[in-house]
This record gives sequence, C-alpha cells and structure tokens, in this order.
Amino acid sequence: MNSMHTEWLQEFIGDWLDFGDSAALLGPGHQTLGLRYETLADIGTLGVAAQTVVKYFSLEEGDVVLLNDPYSGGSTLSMMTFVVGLAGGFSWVIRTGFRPKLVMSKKLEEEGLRIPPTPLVQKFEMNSLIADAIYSHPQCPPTMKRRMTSLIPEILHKVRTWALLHNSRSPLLKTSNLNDYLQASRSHLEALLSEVAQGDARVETKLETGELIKLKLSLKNQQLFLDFSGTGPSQRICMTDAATIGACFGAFKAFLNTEIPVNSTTLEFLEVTTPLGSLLNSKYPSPTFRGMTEGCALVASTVIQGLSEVMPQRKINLGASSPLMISLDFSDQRSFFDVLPSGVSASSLGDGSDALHFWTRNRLQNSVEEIERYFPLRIHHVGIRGKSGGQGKFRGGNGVIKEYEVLEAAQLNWVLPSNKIADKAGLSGQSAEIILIEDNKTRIHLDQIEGHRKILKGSRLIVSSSGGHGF
Amino acid sequence: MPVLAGVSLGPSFVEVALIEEKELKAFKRFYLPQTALSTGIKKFLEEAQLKPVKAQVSSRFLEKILGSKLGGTVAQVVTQGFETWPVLRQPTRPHYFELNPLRQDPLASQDLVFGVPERISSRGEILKPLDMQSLKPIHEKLQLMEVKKVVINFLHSQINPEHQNRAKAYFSELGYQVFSATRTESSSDEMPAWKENLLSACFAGSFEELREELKKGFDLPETDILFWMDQGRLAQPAPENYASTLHGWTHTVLQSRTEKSQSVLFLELENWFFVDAQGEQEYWESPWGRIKSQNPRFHRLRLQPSCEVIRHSSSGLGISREELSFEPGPMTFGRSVRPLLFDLLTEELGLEISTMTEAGRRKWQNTMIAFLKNSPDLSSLTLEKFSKKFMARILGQLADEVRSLHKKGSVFVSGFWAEPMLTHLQHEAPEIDWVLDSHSSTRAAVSASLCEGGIKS
Repeated sequence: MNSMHTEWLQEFIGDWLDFGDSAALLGPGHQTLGLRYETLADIGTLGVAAQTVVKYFSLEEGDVVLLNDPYSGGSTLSMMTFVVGLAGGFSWVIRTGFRPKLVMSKKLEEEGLRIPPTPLVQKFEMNSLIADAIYSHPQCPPTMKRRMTSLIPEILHKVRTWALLHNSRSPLLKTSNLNDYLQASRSHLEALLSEVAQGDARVETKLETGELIKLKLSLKNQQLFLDFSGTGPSQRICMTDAATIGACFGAFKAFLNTEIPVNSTTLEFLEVTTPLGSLLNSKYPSPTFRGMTEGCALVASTVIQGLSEVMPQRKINLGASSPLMISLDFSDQRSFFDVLPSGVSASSLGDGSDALHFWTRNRLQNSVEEIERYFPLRIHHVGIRGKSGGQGKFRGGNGVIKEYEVLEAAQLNWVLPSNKIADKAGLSGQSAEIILIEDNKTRIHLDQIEGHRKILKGSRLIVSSSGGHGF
Repeated sequence: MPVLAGVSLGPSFVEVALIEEKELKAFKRFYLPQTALSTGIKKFLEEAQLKPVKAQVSSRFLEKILGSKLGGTVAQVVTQGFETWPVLRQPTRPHYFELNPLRQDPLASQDLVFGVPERISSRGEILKPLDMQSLKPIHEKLQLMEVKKVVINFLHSQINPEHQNRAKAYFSELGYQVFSATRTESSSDEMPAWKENLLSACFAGSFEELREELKKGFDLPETDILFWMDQGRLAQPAPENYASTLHGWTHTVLQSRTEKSQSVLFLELENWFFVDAQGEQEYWESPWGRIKSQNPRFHRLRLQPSCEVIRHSSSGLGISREELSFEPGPMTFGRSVRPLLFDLLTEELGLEISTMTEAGRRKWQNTMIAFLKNSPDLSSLTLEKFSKKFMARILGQLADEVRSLHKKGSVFVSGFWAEPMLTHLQHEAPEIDWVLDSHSSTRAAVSASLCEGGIKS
C-alpha cells in the first residue's frame, strides 16, 4: 500500500474514534483497526464487545446493539456500549458513561441494570418496545432516556456518512490495504521492542484484604508473556479476562512511554494467561465494578513493576495505585460517587504529578457547583494535599484533599487503596485516609480498606488520597 | 451616506472592506508581519479616499498568543478553600497512558492565587459574608509585586453576584484592571467561566494594543470601534469580555448565508472552519480545558493551509497535523524553509497574493522535487503529476471531513479559497449541495461590517 494511503487510513480511522467516551473501529474481518480508550478496561473490552455481538447477531448496516454486561465485553454497568453495523461489513463500537454507584455487592445484578447484547436499532429503526423496557427498569440510569434521544440519531447520521465515505473511498478501504496498515503498526512496534532489554521477572502484589496477584513476566523475541498462574480468587475484586488483557496492554504501552496504536496486531504482542476463576478471569455472576476500576489499576501496576525489573533504567514504583472511591447514597435514590486521584509516583523521568488519574483519560471533570446543585452536599475545600508525596531525588506527586458537608443523612460507602506498598527505601508518600466529623467535634478515622456507614445530616467528611512514592 | 468599515483580523492577515449604501466600495488585504495595522489601514483609506464613521471588527488575532506562556502577572481572588481547584481541573497530557503524565499549565501563576473568606450556597444564600478586611493584605502584596490585573472567581456568583461585585468594586477603586464577567444563571460549571475571566486578563495587554492600532488607523474614537463577541453582540468589550471576542466571527460568517438552514464552510486565507447551521455551543475545548464561549458550533478543520508537507519515516509524503504559523509563513513567501499546504494549493490553483515571491516559488518547487526523488514510491512522478494527485487527496480529505460534520441542507462555501476550490469539492462530494458565496474572496471583512439586509452582490 502506498505510504500516502497509510497516512490517510490512519487519519480516517482516527476520525471515527473521536466519538463517545471511548470507541473502536473494526474491519470486515472483525479485526480491530483502531481504538481510543478512556480506561484500561476499554483497551481489552471494546473489541470483545463487537466480537460477542457478531457471534450472536447478524450485524448489518443501520443496526445498533446495546450492551453493558461485562461478561459480553462490557465494562462497568454504568458504561453503555453500542455496537454499530456499518456499510462494507465494518463495525463501530462506542462507549458512553453514566454516573456510577459504589456498591459492596456479592453479585453483578446488585451493581445495577445488566443489559446483555440487545438489538436497540434495526436497519435504522429504533426498537421502541425494547428501549422503553430498558428506560422503565428501576435500575436504569435516570438520564439514560434523555441521552439516548439525542445520541441514537447522531449515531445513525454517522452510519449514513460512513456509507457515503465507504462508497467514495472503497479502493482505499479494501482488505489488502487494511492488512498493510495493520502490518505497518506491527513493524513499528517490533522496531520499538528491538531497542528495549529482554528478560524475566516474577512479581507479587498482595492486597491488604488478602488477595494475591502473581505474575511471571517474560519479555523476549519481541513478545511479552504474562502468566498470572497462582493468582487467587476474590469475592470483591473481580475482573474479566478481557479487562485483564486491557490492563496489561495499557501498562505495556505506558512503560514504552510512546504512543503506539491499539489494534489487533499490536494487541497480539501480548500473550496473557489468567487462571479461570481467579480474580483476573471471573465468572458470572461475580460483581465487576471494583475489578474494572481497582482491579485493572492493580494489574497494570503489577505489570509495570515486572517491567521495571527487566528495565530498571525506567523504573517506577507506583505504590498505592488503586483509587480511593466513595459514594453517598441519599434517601431519594440519588447517589453521589467520587474517585480521588492519588499523587503520581516519581520515576527516573522526574517528579510525579499531583493528584492525577494515572489510568484514566477522562475528558469530563466534576464541577463543585454542579455537585452542590444536584446533591445535598456542600464542598468546603478541594485542594492539593500538601507535602503528601514521598521525598527523594525526585518527589512523589501530592494527593488531593476534599472536605464535604452532608446536608441530609446518607449512607457512606468507601474503598481505600488496597495495596499500600511501603517503598523499601522509605520514600513512601502519605497513605489515603477518610475522617468523619460528627457533631462538629467527634473525629472518626475510617481505616478499614472498605466499608459502609450511615452518616447524619451535618456530618463532614475529609477525604485525602495518597501521595506518590519518591524516587 | 456614511461609510462603514468591516475589519477581519486574522492571526497574520488583515482584510478591510469599506461599505457605502450597502455596496462594497473598496477592499484590501495586507500582511501584518510586513505592514503594521495602523499603517496599513491609513494607507488603504488614502487610496480609497473614503473615511468610515464606524468600524466593525471580527477578530481572531488573539489566537496568536494562545501558544505562548500566558498569565504571568494576573492575580486570582477565589473562594477560600479552592485556591488549587483551577490547577486540579487542568486537562491531563498526553491523551494516552505513559509513565510521566502531566497537567496542562494553568492560565495564571499559582503564586498569585488568593483565597478569601466568603461563601454563597447553590441557592444563592450567603453562608459566609465576604470578609472585606481580607482583601487589604492582598492589595498590599499586589502593590509590592506591581501586579495590575485581578481576576475575581467566586463560587455560585451566577446565582448571587453580590460578593463578586463588591470585590470587583474594591479592586477597581484601587486602580486595578478587574476581570469578573457576569455569568448567566444557566451557567452550571464554574470552571469555564473562571477560565474565561483568566483568559480575558491574559489577553488584556494585546487586545488594548490592537484597539489602539485600530483607533490610529481609522482615526476614530474607541466608541466607534465595535467588536463582534459571544452571542452575536456587537459592542465595545469591557476588559472582562476580551476573551469573548475570540469567536465572535462565527456570527458574521453565518449572517452571510443565503438561507438560514445552510452550514458554512469558511475557507479563509489562513484557516478553515466548518460552522454548523444547527446548534450552539456553550464551551470551547481549549488547551486549558473548557472555556465559556456561547457561539454557533464550529469546527476547526483538521487540514489547514499552514499544515506542513512532510516526509514520513516510511519515505512517503503527507501533511502534518501540526499547524505552523504564517510567520515566517509558506515557502512561497520567500522566508521559510518549510513547505506548507498553502504553497501546494496556491501553485496548483493558480492563485497569487502579494506576499508571494519568485524566489519563494522556486524554493518550493526545488524542495518538492527533492522530496519526490527521495521517496521510492513517488520518484517516478513529475512534480506536476504529484501535485495534482496530492491536491486531489487533500480535497478528498476536506470533503470527507465536511461530510462527517454536515447534517442536512446545503453548504455555503465562503472565504478566500472558496471559488478556486468549489469545482473540486463538487467533484469529491457530489451529493452535497455546495453554494458559492458571491463575495467569497472578500467575505471575512464584508461579514464583519454586515448590517441588516447584507451587501448587494
């Protein structure tokens, strides 16, 4: 394929990924041509969502299949995934999110409305009966109907645009060109890997709640082998195999410290083994919210640790890499959810950034005013948690501190980072913490890794995320 | 009949039109790196022998400074407890996972952020009255540091602006330039509004210099030089509204359509945009995150005249996504060593502007010939054949992008490049009803001056 065409194809694919919170474009052979992610789970699950849908449906132009079931390629239940049929046998996967809830659940269905692959639109016609059934479900996100009313027509407009483009650009979109394009990605990654060290490493991440992630990593012959045999099960942190692969690839990408496209051929560079029934390859109906969030971060950090042993010149010890999450459930069904970013650990590359989500690239951010308008909450303070990053030649990033006042009684749920690994050189950042102040005087330190508690109107919560390790 | 001046200020080019009795009487385009704004306008008026009574300005000039480090001496006064909130809401870079992610630098220095005791609730109730005593030490510190610009950013000021107005009055009386725009009640996210204030403060110096140049050039008082702003307002902007002049041009472009249902493909000399017929935006996705911008929805096209023609590692040729500026500009201007899309298009479409030089054109040709020789895939092509193929590809991409953005109705094509490119666009996307603007080559300036009823063709 002509090099001008390679560039054109790259840009063309890039345009189709700029929709929704994350997206993927697949070719007529169901190969992932390109993928834009927001989270680690997206990397592994978007392609699987499309492959699951085509397994059970004959996906044609103008069809839209909706799912959120993590065991069908979804992510958390608050993330809706649309698999869209395009002309020429191509398919397009779009994911968009709603406000999540933190639920300490034992079963997936307790986390929200589970939607297996469901034909929402057929040949450009909305299936109103199915849509109404979804919207009227008590666990359906309250804004879903309003959002779908504008989103579905936008998606269908893009499907028609694709048909025009496919018609005018069909010589460029033929299979041989697509294969050449993918091969170019492979060559690029091979070239990158030829410049890095090879080797083996064994790493373990033990969580304070007792779970164990064991990894045997081998980087050789321009391939990365990740064997998680020996990893135990969990009732709390459950991931799907697809999410685990996504976390591994995300870590691998981050460690290479350069942009590489995510597609079928680059994903093939990883060979991941996860024991069935372990926390990395759970079965339905295991709950997955914490797996898709916390679990992915833990797996990625474990992989980074392993790669740091093989390539110590790029070492980074990510420390408490899983997020601090809280939710406040009010009596009128409103549920406020927040994830507080930790300080980023320092590395050989320099100081860590303050309070930054290391494993999420979310374009939207919470507004204080919007939170206060919508929830019975007052936010008294949001700021960088001064001097919470670890010391060293390079300083760890500081965490964030937020102080909330609860204006109505609520149930507080929380999860603290579960792998508070102290840095052996004593360069740890400060740990995450939650302090509850009742009656304006009683201070209660909530130090369990996870928990829930009823809190009274007028209580204050001071939530502080961890600082990153120094280097 | 009074003469009206329309001015379209791009980052590097200025277009001025003089309108009398709804007829275009004179038009000129000049290049700012070679001709100062006031000098260029004066000379134009002398040549035209006309004196306008008013100037209406649509400006993208301030885009030039967006790439530079902003906010060096801007103080921010915020609700106590939220001093680092603007930093925490800066976007993360890069957009992909890597080991050392960073935040986009904030618009103003963190050393000059001051929290004051005050708090308004989400319903507008005063929870903590503004402590006016706390403003004095801030003033003292700013005096020591010789800081003259102050931004006031308080939470929920759109519901109850009392504290904001009092703080603004305090600093104004002390001689500071204060930036604290009134927010509409529907404004629900504080940060785009806060950033708008900061951006106005950052723009202040450059905007005021620009306005002085316009006053000198036209010999008109400030009251007769009006700017197009957010929400289609045409007025003299107060300091806190300087940022709102950035996208006022979108209203002028839409006004020039022949039908209200038309979207506009605005192919201005320096930049290309698609302006949506339907839909307004509330925010602009800037490098610093969302900034308030209530205007027609517009898209800056991926292809721009200032994109560089580059050689790929795979030894092909392509167009970089990075936009270079027009200073030193295209190779055909004679001062640059980097070939731009502008060079290819002007050569292929047979266009000329006064800033192009013979030496520049020869340099362009020689550079492209050398590129082709060194590209195994392309070495058998002559420059002429390559340019034709490359241009076809470029216009194909442009048409594809318009297809993705366009929803329904016809597309009104306007701007410097409109007429030369129209046939090619019609060929690339025949299903779109392309309508050419009869004033396409003078559109920017004419639009800026638009009054009711428009200009006679």
